[in-house]
Amino acid sequence: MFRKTMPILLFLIALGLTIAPVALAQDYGAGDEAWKPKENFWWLFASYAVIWVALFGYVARVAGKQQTLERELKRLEQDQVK
Amino acid sequence: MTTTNRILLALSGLGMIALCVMLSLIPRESAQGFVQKIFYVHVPVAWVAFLAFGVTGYNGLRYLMTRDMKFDRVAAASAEIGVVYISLVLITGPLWAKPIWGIYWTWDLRLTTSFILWLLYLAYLILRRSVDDRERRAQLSAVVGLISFLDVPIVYMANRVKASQHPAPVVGGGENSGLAPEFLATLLIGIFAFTVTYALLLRLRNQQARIEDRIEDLYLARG
Repeated sequence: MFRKTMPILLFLIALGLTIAPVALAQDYGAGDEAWKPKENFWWLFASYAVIWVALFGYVARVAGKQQTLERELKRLEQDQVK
Repeated sequence: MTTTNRILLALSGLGMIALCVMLSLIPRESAQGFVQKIFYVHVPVAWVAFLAFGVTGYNGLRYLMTRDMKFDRVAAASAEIGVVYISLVLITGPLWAKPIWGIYWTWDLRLTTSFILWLLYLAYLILRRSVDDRERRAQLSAVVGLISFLDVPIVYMANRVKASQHPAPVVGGGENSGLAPEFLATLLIGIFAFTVTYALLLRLRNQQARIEDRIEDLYLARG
């Protein structure tokens, strides 16, 4: 159950961490308007998306591997006892 | 999950949330505007990659001195995480460069040495997969890890000693460098969040490496 839901949960957290700062920051702060906010929005969004998706994807992979290894170790130790 | 891992997980989560809040609240930088906020993830991720490769080099050296496999496991775990982080540096850098410089990439000293760093540690990981004997793998990896680490100070110094397309350092870069307090706070929170996440991942990968060694021993015992 946890193994199936964890990647979805991590993906949703990554999505939240990506969208929230980009969306909330759009109209905040003064500054030179010469730059193009709408075009730059996608570069910022892409950077955050890459960071969070890659990081949480790696965390999910590590957690998944942990369970696989523990199962295999348990099976081998039981075989040894037999 | 151990208590230490739970604490690291909680700190990592809090750090990420704090970073997210700070990224939402800090004002736009006047020259680059909105896209400058990539800085607050790009720099911390680079810092952690350097740290990870330092840990790999240090533990490789400890292995060569003691021949204790625990150092080899830490070195390998740290190198793998370091490659993930340096890959993120090499992806977020061009995403920031395109709207500011007009190009994704240029072969200047900072960018080239960063790319070489990525290749060196990728080679380190490929080497580990290609050698079956555990002792020999540990020895070769330790030497490669140590030599590869020599590129880290070169990357760090690249835009300090030579004019570069890459911006001059804004922290610790001399008299004209420095950040406004709210920008510096966001950067430090980012460094904290990504470093704690690295520590958690390092512990998890190290525990897994121990289990992998135990599994390998059991298979060898079965013949």
